[in-house]
Amino acid sequence: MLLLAPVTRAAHPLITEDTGTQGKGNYQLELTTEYGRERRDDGLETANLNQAVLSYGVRENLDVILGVPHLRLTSTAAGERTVVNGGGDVGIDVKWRFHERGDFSVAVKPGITLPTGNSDKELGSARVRSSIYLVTSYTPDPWGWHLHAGYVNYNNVQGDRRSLWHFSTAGWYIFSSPSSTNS
Amino acid sequence: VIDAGADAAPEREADTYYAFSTVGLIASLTDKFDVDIGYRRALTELGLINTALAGLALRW
Repeated sequence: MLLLAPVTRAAHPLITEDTGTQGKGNYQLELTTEYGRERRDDGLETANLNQAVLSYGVRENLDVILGVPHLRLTSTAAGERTVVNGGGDVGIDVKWRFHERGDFSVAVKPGITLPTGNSDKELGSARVRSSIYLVTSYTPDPWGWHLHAGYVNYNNVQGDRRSLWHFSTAGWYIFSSPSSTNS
Repeated sequence: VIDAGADAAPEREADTYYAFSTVGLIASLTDKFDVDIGYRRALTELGLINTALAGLALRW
C-alpha cells in the first residue's frame, strides 16, 4: 500500500482537518496534486495522486464534500517498469460544525467512499467504506491549532484490517490578514 | 502550516502505523483564490518517504 490515500480532506497541503465551512450557498473547488517517490533496494516506486474536491455549503455550518481522485502508480524493479493509471474511489463527506465558543469550535465529519476505482489494479477497494472524524479548532488570530481524530471502516476484499484509526494535529500562522480561513 | 499525524496500517502482518509530517505554505492571492505548496515526509517505513504537494482552491 502506497499510503497516498484519496480522501476528501482539509485545506491542502494539510491532512489534518479544520472546522471551517464554506457558508450557506457557497462553493469551493480544490485541485490538488501529490507526487511521492521512494528508492528501495530493488527499485523505485512513485505515486501521483491528482484530486478534485468540490465543497458546497448546505448551511452556514454544514458542508457536503465530493472528492474525485486520479492515481498513477509506477514501480521499477530489475529494469522492468510497471504503470497503473486511473480513477480512484470517489468520496462523499459531510462536515458539520456543531459547537462554537469564541475561538474554539468542534466539528464532526462522517463520510463514505464508493468503489469506483479499479480494484484489480489496486486503484480502488471494491467495497463501500465509511469513516467518521472528530475535529477541533482553536483559532486565536493569527494562529490556528487543530486536532483531528477518527475511525475508518476499511471494508476491503484483500483481508486487511477493517478497523483503522487516524490521529493528527496541525498549526498555522497567518502572515497577512485574510478575512477568513476555509478548508 | 505544519502538520503531523499517524494512521493505523491496514495490513494484518504489519504491527505498526504510518506516521507523517508536513510543512507547507498557503497563499491567498484573493479572498476567492488560494494556491498552496508543501512537502510531506514519512516518519515510518510504511508509505513513500518524500512527497511533494501542490494545489489551488477557488471559491464562489
